[in-house]
Amino acid sequence: MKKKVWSQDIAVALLLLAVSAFLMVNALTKQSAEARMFPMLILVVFMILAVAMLVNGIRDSKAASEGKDVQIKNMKWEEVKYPLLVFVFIVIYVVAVDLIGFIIPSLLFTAGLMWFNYARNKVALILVPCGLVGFLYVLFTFILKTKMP
Amino acid sequence: MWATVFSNFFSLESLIALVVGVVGGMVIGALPGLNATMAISLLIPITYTMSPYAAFTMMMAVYTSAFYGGSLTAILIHTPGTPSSAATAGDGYALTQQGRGLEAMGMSTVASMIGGALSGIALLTLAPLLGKVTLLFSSPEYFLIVILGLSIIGGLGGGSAVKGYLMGVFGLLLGTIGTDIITGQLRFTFGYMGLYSGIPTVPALIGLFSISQAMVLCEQHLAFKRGEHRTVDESALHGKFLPTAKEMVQHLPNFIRSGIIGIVVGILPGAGGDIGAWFAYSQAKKASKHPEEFGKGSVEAICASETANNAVTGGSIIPLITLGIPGSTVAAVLLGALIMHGLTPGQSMFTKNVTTTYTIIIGFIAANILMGLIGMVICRQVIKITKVSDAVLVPVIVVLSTIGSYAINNRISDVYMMLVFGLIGYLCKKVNLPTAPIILGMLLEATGESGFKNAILMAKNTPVMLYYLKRPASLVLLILIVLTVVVPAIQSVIRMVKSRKSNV
Repeated sequence: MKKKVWSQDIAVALLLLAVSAFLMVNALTKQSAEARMFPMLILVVFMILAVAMLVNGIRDSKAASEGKDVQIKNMKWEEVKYPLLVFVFIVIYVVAVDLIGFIIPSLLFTAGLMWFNYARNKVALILVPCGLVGFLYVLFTFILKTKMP
Repeated sequence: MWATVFSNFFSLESLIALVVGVVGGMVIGALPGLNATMAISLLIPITYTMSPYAAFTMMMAVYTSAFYGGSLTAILIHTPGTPSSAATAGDGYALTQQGRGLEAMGMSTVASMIGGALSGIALLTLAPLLGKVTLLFSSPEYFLIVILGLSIIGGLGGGSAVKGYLMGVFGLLLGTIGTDIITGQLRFTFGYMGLYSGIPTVPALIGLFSISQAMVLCEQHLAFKRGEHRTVDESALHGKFLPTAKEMVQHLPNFIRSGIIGIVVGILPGAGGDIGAWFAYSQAKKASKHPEEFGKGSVEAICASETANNAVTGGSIIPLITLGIPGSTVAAVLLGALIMHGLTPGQSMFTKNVTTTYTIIIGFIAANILMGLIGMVICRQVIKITKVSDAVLVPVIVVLSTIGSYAINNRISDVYMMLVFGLIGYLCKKVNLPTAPIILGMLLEATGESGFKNAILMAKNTPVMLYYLKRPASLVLLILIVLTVVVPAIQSVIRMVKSRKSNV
């Protein structure tokens, strides 16, 4: 028996349809007829395209399950887990910048992320963060004369 | 006018911008994983306080130099720094393996300079003529221009046009968020004050292109753990570098043919540097006396692909500044930068802002020449920079993105917005949804909405579609939209039928 293959496009299209339905309800209940005219037009086109993506996804899944020459490349957890972990680090860094300013969190974040990515050269671990933050401080404060966070 | 143009161009600010743009672009292009789109999105906040002509001189210099920088790694380590150098990689690396890497780099330097400069001249001569076309346009046509722009860039959807269009419409939807200009009503803000004035474009752009790219680079985490790094075979960097005068004369038809191909491909919206390079490569092979050398280490092949990919840069700017239609991802980002600096694409670029426009064009031509000259001196050093590990580049990109997103409005909420778009951008990449149409949709939404509403008002009692069909300029644009959407669809159906027949 052939293994059933599912394209991730089906899930993405369903998600987009759900979001557009939610926005449509929001537009119908919270906006006047004039204000919602253009967003509604866009939402209708968006839903049609999402349905087309859903149909394509189902067709590709069916073809792949039947062993036809259709390539389905779905996202793998192994591939995205480190980038998503790094994204969490970035969120923590931005919150720290918001709370205590730019310089210290940037120094720690740069060195920390380099360490996390196995950059173990001690000179680089000191020079890169200091050089980067120093350069940005001079650029934004003295040359561009703008505020830093 | 020209006195002001040259006075602007020779100002210290412009000259510094030019040199920094050229060197920066070469370095960024040479680093696999980094590209001109990302670099320019990060440059927008940095150049925000600069004069528009200096800012654009720098961004255009980065654009063209990144294409050249990408060829250096394509030749030496068989890794194109940018997709447009993919056509160079095969022959360039074959020459490196034959101990002729420096000769390949020399040809790439000269060809990139000539291709870029030719496209600059085309920009100087063709753009003002095309700009006059916009005099035929009124509000209803601007709505169609938005649709045309989205249908063109939507077609760049990496295999699926539906996904490209879907993301373009998603961008339009994001553009409606905020206060409606006509009614003053809030749309899709959900009570969050940060959204009342709409989604800030530059932080969104930085998130989509820079943060997402930093996350993509982190996919190599296990390779970092294993200590795998890029290496450059410096033993290939010896021998002859620049082509001789006799060789230049021999390659002259190739330079001219590939330059013209690059410019035309650049003007045609939807086709980027990679298509231009491959097209010129195939034409050079047909015209060559030694087609058998193509793919095995041909200097002619490098001459063709590198002339064409740099010629695409100037070509792609022509529809951008005349019609506001970006033909590539980089051009879409440059459209954001134009709007940020208060410049409106169209005839005003050749009337109200004429000195700025011509300074930018002169700066672009100068950038290409300077790129060649600087490349001849420092390309051997630039290639050593590619040894810098992506493990170091990732935090640098994130920190630059953070300060860049903050600097435009001095608002930390913009940095949080960058995070949201960074995650959206990364997830889009993982589910094969293109991100360039999102930005284009966001940028063009206001023009599209006002054009659409004005068209309804101007049509009065006539049905809108009939009103559009009665306007000659609209009719031409409608035909272009239909062709843009229908022709690729028909081609795709024909391909599908052919493949089914061959399977049977």
